[in-house]
Amino acid sequence: MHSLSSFVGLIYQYADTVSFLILSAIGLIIIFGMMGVINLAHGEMMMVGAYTTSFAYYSGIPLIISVILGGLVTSVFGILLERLIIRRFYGQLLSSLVATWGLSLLLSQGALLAFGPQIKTVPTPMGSFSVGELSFSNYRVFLFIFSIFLIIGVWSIFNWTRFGLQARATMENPKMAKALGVNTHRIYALTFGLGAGLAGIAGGLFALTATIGPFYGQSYTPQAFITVVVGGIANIFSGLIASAFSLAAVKTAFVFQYNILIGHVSMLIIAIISIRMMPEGISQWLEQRKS
Amino acid sequence: MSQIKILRSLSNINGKNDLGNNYIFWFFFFLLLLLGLFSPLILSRYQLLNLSNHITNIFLGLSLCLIWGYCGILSLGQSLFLGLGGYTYGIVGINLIETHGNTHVALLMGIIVPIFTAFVLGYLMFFARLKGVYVAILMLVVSLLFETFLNQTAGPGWFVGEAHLGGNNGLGRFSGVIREPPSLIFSFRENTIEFVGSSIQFYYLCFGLALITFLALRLLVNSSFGYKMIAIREDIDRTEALGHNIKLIQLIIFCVGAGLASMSGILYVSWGNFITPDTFGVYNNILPVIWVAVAGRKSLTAALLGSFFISWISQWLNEQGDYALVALGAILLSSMLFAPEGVIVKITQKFSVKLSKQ
Amino acid sequence: MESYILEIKNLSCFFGGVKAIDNVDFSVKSNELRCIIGPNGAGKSTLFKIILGTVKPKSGSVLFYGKDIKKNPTYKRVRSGIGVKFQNISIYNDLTVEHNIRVSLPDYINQNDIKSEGQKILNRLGLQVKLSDRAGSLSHGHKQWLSIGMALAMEPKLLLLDEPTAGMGSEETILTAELVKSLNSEGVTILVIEHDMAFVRELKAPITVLHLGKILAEGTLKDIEKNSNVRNAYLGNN
Repeated sequence: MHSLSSFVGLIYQYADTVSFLILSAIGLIIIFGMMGVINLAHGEMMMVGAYTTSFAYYSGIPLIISVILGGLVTSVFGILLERLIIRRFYGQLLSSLVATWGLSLLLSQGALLAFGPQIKTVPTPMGSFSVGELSFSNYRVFLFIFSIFLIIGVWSIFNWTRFGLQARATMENPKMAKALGVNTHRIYALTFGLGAGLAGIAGGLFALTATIGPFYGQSYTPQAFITVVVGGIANIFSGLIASAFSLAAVKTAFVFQYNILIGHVSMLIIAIISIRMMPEGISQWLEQRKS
Repeated sequence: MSQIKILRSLSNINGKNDLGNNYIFWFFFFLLLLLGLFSPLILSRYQLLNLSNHITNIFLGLSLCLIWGYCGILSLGQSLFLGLGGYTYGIVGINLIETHGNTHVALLMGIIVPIFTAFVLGYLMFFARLKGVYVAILMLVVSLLFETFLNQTAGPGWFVGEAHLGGNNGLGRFSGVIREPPSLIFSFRENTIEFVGSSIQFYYLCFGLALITFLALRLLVNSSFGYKMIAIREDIDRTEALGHNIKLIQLIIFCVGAGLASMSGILYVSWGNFITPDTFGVYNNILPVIWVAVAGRKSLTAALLGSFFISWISQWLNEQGDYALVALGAILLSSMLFAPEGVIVKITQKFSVKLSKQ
Repeated sequence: MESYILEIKNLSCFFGGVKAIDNVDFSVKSNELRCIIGPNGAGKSTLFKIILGTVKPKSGSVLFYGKDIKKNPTYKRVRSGIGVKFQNISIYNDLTVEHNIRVSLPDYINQNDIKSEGQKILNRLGLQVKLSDRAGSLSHGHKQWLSIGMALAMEPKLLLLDEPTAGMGSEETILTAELVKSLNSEGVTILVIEHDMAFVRELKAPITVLHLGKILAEGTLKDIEKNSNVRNAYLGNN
């Protein structure tokens, strides 16, 4: 019995870490893959989603709708940001890094001033189940399943809708796409909105598991970045999946064997090694092996 | 003959790779120099204490200006080296101060450890041809890793010799027993001099070091090494195809930058006898980016002035109310939007256009 | 006994998913001047990149003065005497002409001699520009010449020129041909990739035709023009 619950515990931990990485990174990788912009205000997008979800929930709106609202509000907010600020930095990687970092500071400090150091946490739904002496949260299992469906959903958008077709064309070759009549400005705005919205949903979903404050997003951003950088953007889907599953494997193994700190450190070390071996990410390495 | 050579290379201080090569610049330079030399006579101890603190930030700003503005390597984790320098100096200092009576070894270690770290990290990054964005973020992540680790060290087991790591309370604080990191103490035979944060000699130490560092860096960026650095910033592949060992150049300058940042860290600890893990955090890593990006990253002069004055302004803002950080974020964003080359650089350009029109 | 400055044997390379170079044997004697032509995508630029070291071949050897340079990093190859002017003019647009040349000069040149060395190169190229001009402000043709000048500054023994007359008018093209010929007569081995047949004609040099990663034909301009395989490969080009 003891080993069964340990085993289940291990699988649970692994799935939880995978969903954590996928949800944190999916918005970021889409924006990076499309526009080559690393949005350092990504954590603040998640914060906007979390805040919206919390406010909505405490205004009486049902939980599911609150999370969806979190995604929508962040999406609109993202499109606004793109129009006003982000689009001036396309093609200027380092300047966009610095500018979005300034934005991040502005948003997080602004939230601190406007709403104080903490806002009301939303209770975790769905209860728990137990195996042996260990109990596990059903919600976390749900998050894992949801994250898989989310990837499939976004993949479908990119492969089966007209927007997706135009977006992929723009990602590959913006000049060509423009010449073929694609309104690349609109694609960029919508893609940024999609990325922001995904960050917002992630923020809303995680809001049900953590305390929510102005710097909420900053506990997710570093791992989101690592996941994106290790995965690479040659193919954002294979990159995200390969990266999340492998990094999570390393982290879970070391956490299980030692402790959280060592797990964190080992994940970082593997990320550094991975970047050293495959500087353009796992997805680029996979693409090269295909040919 | 060699005297002429030395004179000629010294003229590089007035070279073209930094703003300020004419008599107007040098006039203001000497004016500031005089102002700096005589300020201990005018200012109160408290004001001097603050002034010294802002001067210690100059090294961090210059380090980022050097690697980013001149060589194109953006690091969002430059404060990592400040923190490593400060903590190493503090730890070694606490352990050796009784037996040695000075901080010579602590100072040495405080510079070597960050440079060694930069060497390892730089080797991993540049020899894998890691590009701009990835380098920037990797450095931030490594810095945050140290922050996470050090925040966990509040417990009783976390001693390095006699130095307690202290978790988020800071180095050298453990329940009743406080073994602070010492201020810089130099000794020669029987003479010792201590550089406590509020002292006049500390102020002159910082001021003198900043002056020497600034002039030395001006020499560097105008040397042939400097020209190669700038070429790497502009087009790294072309520079490689011109026969330059780009990976080595990047590695060297990255280590130099780490050494500079570590000086900020060591001086900071000497100033306050205090250092905490949030030195490695996001906020402290964004500060030098703000100073340098807003003022103008491609110029040592701009970066120096930016580091000092923005640091000064933000302290002033802090004293006014809670809006300081929001203001800083807004300043960073708007300057990237409207003066991407830097405010001081832009003003200088407009000024020299006006001058040439006359 | 003439020596081979460059020998390429059984070279194969995949680039961008296609076999860019397909089992190529290619040799150049010292002091030669050779043109490399071929339709788009023939693998010409890829060949240069392999010689320089920025692209790694799948198989085959590259010998420079009889020594295999495959393990040498790019900067070492350049230092050992291979100069290159890329297809897209890569000069440092935002830096001065002087800075451009300065970075191209070998390390042993004294700091104080840089201005005079730079002026020498400008004179050699017939470039009437000031050292203090911003490189980006030069005319297109002058940028090409500056680019060649930067490759020359390292005093290379083998010079690779990838489309040196792209975007030039007919007058400048002829001047460039004169420049290339005179450089060659000074002892520099030169390989030129070109699309402009007028330029190729002016050079009066032996030609190697590349097509789909293979060598299609080699010989004088007359031989090439008579060659039906070459005509078919171009199919209307030229």
